[in-house]
Amino acid sequence: MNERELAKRLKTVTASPMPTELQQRIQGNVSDYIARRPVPRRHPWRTTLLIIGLVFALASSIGAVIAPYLALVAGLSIMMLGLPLLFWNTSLFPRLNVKAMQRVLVVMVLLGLTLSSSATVFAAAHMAEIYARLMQTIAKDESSTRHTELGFRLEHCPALGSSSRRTEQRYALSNRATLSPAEAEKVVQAQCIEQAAQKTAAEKWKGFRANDTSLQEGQTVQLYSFRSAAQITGLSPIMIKWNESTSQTFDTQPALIDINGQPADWSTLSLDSLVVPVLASPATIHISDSGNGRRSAIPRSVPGAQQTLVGLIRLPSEVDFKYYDPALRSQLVAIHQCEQNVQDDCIAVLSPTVILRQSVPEANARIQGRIVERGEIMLKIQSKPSHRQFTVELPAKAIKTHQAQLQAGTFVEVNYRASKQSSTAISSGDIAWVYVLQDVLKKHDKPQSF
Amino acid sequence: MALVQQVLDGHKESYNHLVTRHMQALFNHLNILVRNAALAEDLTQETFIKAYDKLYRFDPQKAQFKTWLFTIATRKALDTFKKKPTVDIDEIVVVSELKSPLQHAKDREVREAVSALEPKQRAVVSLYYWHGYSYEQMSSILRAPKGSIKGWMHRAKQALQEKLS
Repeated sequence: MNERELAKRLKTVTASPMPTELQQRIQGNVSDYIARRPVPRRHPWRTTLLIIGLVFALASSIGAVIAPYLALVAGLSIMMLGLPLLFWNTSLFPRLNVKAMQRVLVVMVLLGLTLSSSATVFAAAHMAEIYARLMQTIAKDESSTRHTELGFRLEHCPALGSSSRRTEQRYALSNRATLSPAEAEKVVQAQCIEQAAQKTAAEKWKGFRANDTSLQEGQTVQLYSFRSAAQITGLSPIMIKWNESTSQTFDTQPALIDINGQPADWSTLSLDSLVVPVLASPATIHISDSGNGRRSAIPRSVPGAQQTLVGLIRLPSEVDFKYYDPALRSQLVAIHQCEQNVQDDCIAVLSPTVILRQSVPEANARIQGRIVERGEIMLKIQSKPSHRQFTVELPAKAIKTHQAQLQAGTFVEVNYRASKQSSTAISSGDIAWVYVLQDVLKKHDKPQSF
Repeated sequence: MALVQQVLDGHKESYNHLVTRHMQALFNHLNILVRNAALAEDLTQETFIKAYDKLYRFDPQKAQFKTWLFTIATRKALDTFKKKPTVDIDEIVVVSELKSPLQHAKDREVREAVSALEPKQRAVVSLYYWHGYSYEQMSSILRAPKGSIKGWMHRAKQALQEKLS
C-alpha cells in the first residue's frame, strides 16, 4: 500500500454519529455546569496577583543584590502572600487548577523563605559592618576633637607610663565619672602633669598642698578643694598655671581668682594659666567658685573634681612680665612643666603649636622637644631688663637638624647661651618659647615686640 | 464567533449550541486518542467545561473555536497518557452501525490500526485525515514544531502501511 492509497483509505473512514444517549449525557452535564457557573470573565485579581508576584520576585532579586533589607521585606511579603493562598479552601473553586496553583505558591513560599533567611544573614552582617564603621568614626571624631580642643598631645609621660596606660585611664575615668572623652583627657593630662611635677619636686622642690604654708619660689601648689588659697611670699611677679581637671566650663569660664582680695586681671588669663603682673609680698591667692555671680568652673557633682594648681613659678624680680602675644595666647595650651631639670624626659611639652615652653634655668641651658607638626621653628624669649618681649629667630646653627621645615617627629635640641652684654641677654628665669609658627605667622607678618 | 460573543455577553444558553456543534467531532477525536469511550466522554465534558471557563481567553483572530477546542482536548488527552499510558484496545467503542458490514469492517480495521499507533501519531492522523487540520494548525494544537509533526506523521504512515497492506 502506497501513501496515496493509505490516504484514500484513511479518508474513507467517516465520522460515526454519537449515540443519542451519549450526546444527551454530555450536553446535560455541560449545561448543568454552565448553569451553576457565572458568565466567564477575566478575573482581575489573578492578573493583579501575577503582577504582584512578579514585582516581588523582581524586587527580591534586585534587593538581594543591592540591599538585603529589601530582600528581607520582599521575602517576607511573598511568604505572607503565599502562605494563605497555599491553604486556600479549594472547594470554593472546584474547577480551579489547584495543583498548578499550589505548585506556584509552594515555589513562592520557598523563594520567600530563602530570600528572607539569606537576607537576614546579609542584613546582620551589614548592620555589624555599619556598627563597626560607626564606632570607628566616633572614635576618630573623639580623637580629632580631643586634639583640636585641647590642642596638645603628650608624647610621653613617664609618671603615668605608656600612652596605652593613659588611654586606659582616660576611658576608666570617662566611664566612672561620666565624663566626656575630652574631660577625661583633661583629667589624665592633669594627673600626668601633677605626677611629673611631683616627681621633680621630690628631687628639688617641696611640694605642698594649698593652705599648707607659704609658697616659695619654684614651688608647686596643688589645690584639692575648690575653696583653696595659697599664700605667696617673696617678691612678685609670679606665674600661676593651673589645670582644672574636671571643669566643664573650663574653656570659657575659668575659676574665679582673686589676689589679696582683688579680682585677678582676667585679661591675663589664658586657658590654663594666669600671669600675675605684680604681686606684693605677701600675697594670697584665692581660687573660688563663688562671687560675682560667676559659675563654678568645677561642678561639684563630678566625682573626683579637684582644682590643681600646678607650676606656681617664681619669676625673677622686677620683671614686668607682659603676657605674650594675645593671638598666640589662645593657641597656647597646657604646658608640661619640668622647670629646672631640662634634661628630664618630662620636658617634652608638645603641642601642634607649642613645642617647648621652658623657663630658662640658668645662663647656659638647653631645651629639647619633639616636633609634633610640620612647621618652622622659632625661639621666643621673654626677658628683662628692657621690660620688653623679644622675639628672636633661632639661628640655623642652633637647631641641630638645620632644617627650616621640620617634619613631625623630628627631635629638636635648642642650645642657647646667655650673654649679659647683649640687649637680648637671656637670664636665669627667663622663659624661652619654641613655637611652630606655621599658623602664627599667617596672622602676624612678624612677631610682635614690645 | 457570534455564539462565543453571546456567551460572553451573558447568554449562557448559547454555549449549548457550541457544544452541540462540536461535540461529535471532539468525541471521535478523543476516542481515537485515548482508545476508551468512557474516558473520551469524560474528556469531552471536561474540554467543554474548561473552554467555558476560559472562554474570555479565546481569541478568534488566532484560531477558530473548533481549533481552540481541539487544542484543549488534545492536550488533555495526551496528559492522560502521562498517567495512564496503556489502555486496552478492546475498549474502543464502535459508534457506527449505519454503514454496510463491509465498510464497517474496513473502518474498524483502519481504526484499530490507528489505535495501535503511538499517542502523538494517533493525534496527527486523526487531526489531519479526519478533521482536516494542516501541519501548521497541528503544530499549534500539539505545541510541537512542524518538523516533529511531520516526523510523527511519517512514522504513523509507515506503521499504517504495514498493518493495512
